[in-house]
Order: sequence, then structure tokens, then C-alpha cells
Amino acid sequence: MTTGIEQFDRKRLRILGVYVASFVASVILSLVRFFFRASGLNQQLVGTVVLASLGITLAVMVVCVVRLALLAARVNRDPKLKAAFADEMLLLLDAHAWRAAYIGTAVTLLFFAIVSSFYPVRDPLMIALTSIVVGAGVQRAAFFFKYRSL
Amino acid sequence: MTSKPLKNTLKVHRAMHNWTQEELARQVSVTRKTINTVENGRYVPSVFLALKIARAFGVPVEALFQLDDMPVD
Repeated sequence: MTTGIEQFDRKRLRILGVYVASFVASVILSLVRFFFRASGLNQQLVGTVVLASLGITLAVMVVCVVRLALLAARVNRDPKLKAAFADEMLLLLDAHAWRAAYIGTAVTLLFFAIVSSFYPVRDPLMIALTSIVVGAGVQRAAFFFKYRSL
Repeated sequence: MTSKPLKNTLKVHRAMHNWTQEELARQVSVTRKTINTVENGRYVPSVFLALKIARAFGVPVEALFQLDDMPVD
């Protein structure tokens, strides 16, 4: 017998998995685009393909975030779900995930600091937004992989 | 999350009550995954959760969890 909580948990993990896959793809595509910009490839067909792919991955991430937010709202409305998903192991995993997010953000900033020595990086807003997006993505990815590994 | 020298008899008590991990999870208001990790010794529960599980089975907590160097009753 599979309870509603179990089904809900599986659904949540499935959405999280799609989010993490999109996040990894978007990070790779962003890096490709970053280096394409320096070599002028972004104006060519391959650059357009990378941009379109990046747009799709970002759109998938947004859809996943919205769906996860809707599930979180459902958890808050349902006392049984709220009790189950506030369990101590999940909270501990969440704390670990936030630590990973902090490290992810720091590594991203370090990456830009190193890259700025070789390439011209003149967009601080892009760096800040990328660091935040990477931090958020790493947080969910860390939770997802840790949860699955248990 | 680290593995600690803590044994448990959750599986035995679940079998005695004919409960699945999901059923036990429902009884103590946690996810099945949490019960699974506790049962397999991959997660050491808090005193609070250990007491809740013990209460669900109607046994003292020592009957469920023992230090690895202690004999099981």
C-alpha cells in the first residue's frame, strides 16, 4: 500500500530531479556561452543553438520551481504532510544542502575572480545573479543527491 | 547522518506488529525514507524520534535501540 505521503514524496523528488538535471545543463550551457562570447561564437548559429537550449533549461527550471512551490503550499495546508515533511532527517539534509549552497556560491565567485584574470568580465550584475542561481541550484542538487543516496 | 555504533530492532518489531515502513512512518509522522534510514543504521534518530517510535510499538526505547557493544535482550 502506498500512502499519500509516499506518493507526494515521490512526486516531489521527481520534480526535484528534473530541476537538478536542468540546472546542471544550464550551468554547462552558461559556461559554453561565456567562453563563446570571448571568442565571438555567440553571433553564429552554434551560439544561437546554445542560447535557445539555455532558454529551454531555464524555462524548465522555472516550471519546476513553481511546481515545487505549489507542493510546498500543499504541505503547509495539510497537517499530516506538514508533520511528515518537517521530520528531523529532512531538516538535517536541508541544513547540509544550505551549506553546499554557500560553498557553491563561493566557488562561483572564485571562478569569476580567476577567469577575470584571463577574460574581460565587466558585468557585476551577471556575476551576482549567476552566483545566486548557482547557489540555489546547488542547494537543491545537494538535497536531491543526499536524499537519494540514503 | 554518520554511521554510529547503534543497533536497532525496528525490523523485528515491525514484523511483530505486521507493519510496513510506511505504516510506522505514518504512526510517528515522518517519511518512510526516514524510517528506512533509521532501520538500516544510516541515520541515528534524535531522542524525540526514538521515543516516538518506541511509543508506537509500546516498548521501552532500550528494546529498540542498543549501543553496538551491548547485548540485545
